[in-house]
Amino acid sequence: MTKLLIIGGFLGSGKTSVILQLAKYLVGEDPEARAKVVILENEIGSVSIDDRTLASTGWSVEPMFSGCVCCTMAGELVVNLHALMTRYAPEWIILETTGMAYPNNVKKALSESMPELECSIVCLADAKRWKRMQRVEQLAEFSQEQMEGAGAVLVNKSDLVTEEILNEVDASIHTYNADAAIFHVSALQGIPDTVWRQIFGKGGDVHGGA
Amino acid sequence: MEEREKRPEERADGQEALCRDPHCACHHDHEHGHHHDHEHHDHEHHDHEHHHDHEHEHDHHQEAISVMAHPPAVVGTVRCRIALQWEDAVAEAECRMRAAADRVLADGGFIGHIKAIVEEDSRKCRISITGEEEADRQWLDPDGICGGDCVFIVFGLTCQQLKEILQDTFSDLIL
Repeated sequence: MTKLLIIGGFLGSGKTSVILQLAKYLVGEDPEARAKVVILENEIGSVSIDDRTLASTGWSVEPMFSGCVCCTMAGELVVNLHALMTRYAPEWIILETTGMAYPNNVKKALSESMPELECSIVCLADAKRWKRMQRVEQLAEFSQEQMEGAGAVLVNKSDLVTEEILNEVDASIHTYNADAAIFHVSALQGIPDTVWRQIFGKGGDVHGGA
Repeated sequence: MEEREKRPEERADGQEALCRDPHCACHHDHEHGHHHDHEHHDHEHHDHEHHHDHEHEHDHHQEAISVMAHPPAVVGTVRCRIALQWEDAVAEAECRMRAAADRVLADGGFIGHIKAIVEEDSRKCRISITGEEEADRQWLDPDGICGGDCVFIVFGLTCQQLKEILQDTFSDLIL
């Protein structure tokens, strides 16, 4: 049974960098196991950047660009998911949403059109820009809606801010999603397996552990 | 350790106005009204639906520079060729991106994400800018003419403003 993991979060929060490490964690040390993971890459621009980044490191990547899977490309998402499941029969599909998508909307839409698909959300927050974004009305609204439904939130670039700011970011995220487990990470420094183990748990479900 | 602020127009309610496009369907202050307080939002002609129309603005380079609205953001794409050796080409792309990013900020915009991939044969470098700090470079294969694709996702500018910035910054790299 294929599981879908939706990776959400604002523009530039580090989704692509995190996915590279997540994919490695999911397949483990066995290079043959790479087939277990397929990455579906959604980008809003009319040229793709991130799928070339991911594909250059040897992962199977399906690009979807020039639109957003939570609105303009919702139909194409379902078609592409079916195609990937048929072609690769992967254990995991990682969907990297655009930085303007609402992951929970994607999950809700898929629960109707593909109820057989087990679907979880992990969101990223940019520790360095979070507070500034909360001062911009529309970006604060974005942040709130993007965090909805996430089982776990990775506060990325945590190495670039103080402990005090991290605490403020955590508190802000919890006002948007009280149930999410929050992890402070730095994709640049590397995300330890202990974080992934807490997120995925024994059954592979995304849940909090912090 | 918070980054230095250079923000869009501050509003009376402490929030910042984002949308500067008088034709945009969003509910935010526009260029002609950003000195008003937030009561302006309740005015009739701003009380319309938030469509996700993707109105494209292409210049004469049709494919090379394009800009579209994805409210509340505007998204610009540049496809260019850089007639320099590999490392110089990467540096040149980063320099142009930084220059365009600075103009976005100077015009009161908010940078969502500016990212590019510069390629030559099997070599690739990803460049990323999210604010005023230095760009991040990620050498994907650290091993003439280099191709560069660049995407700008910014807030608080009109499509026309972003198009002008991209044309001014990149037009000599378009073949």
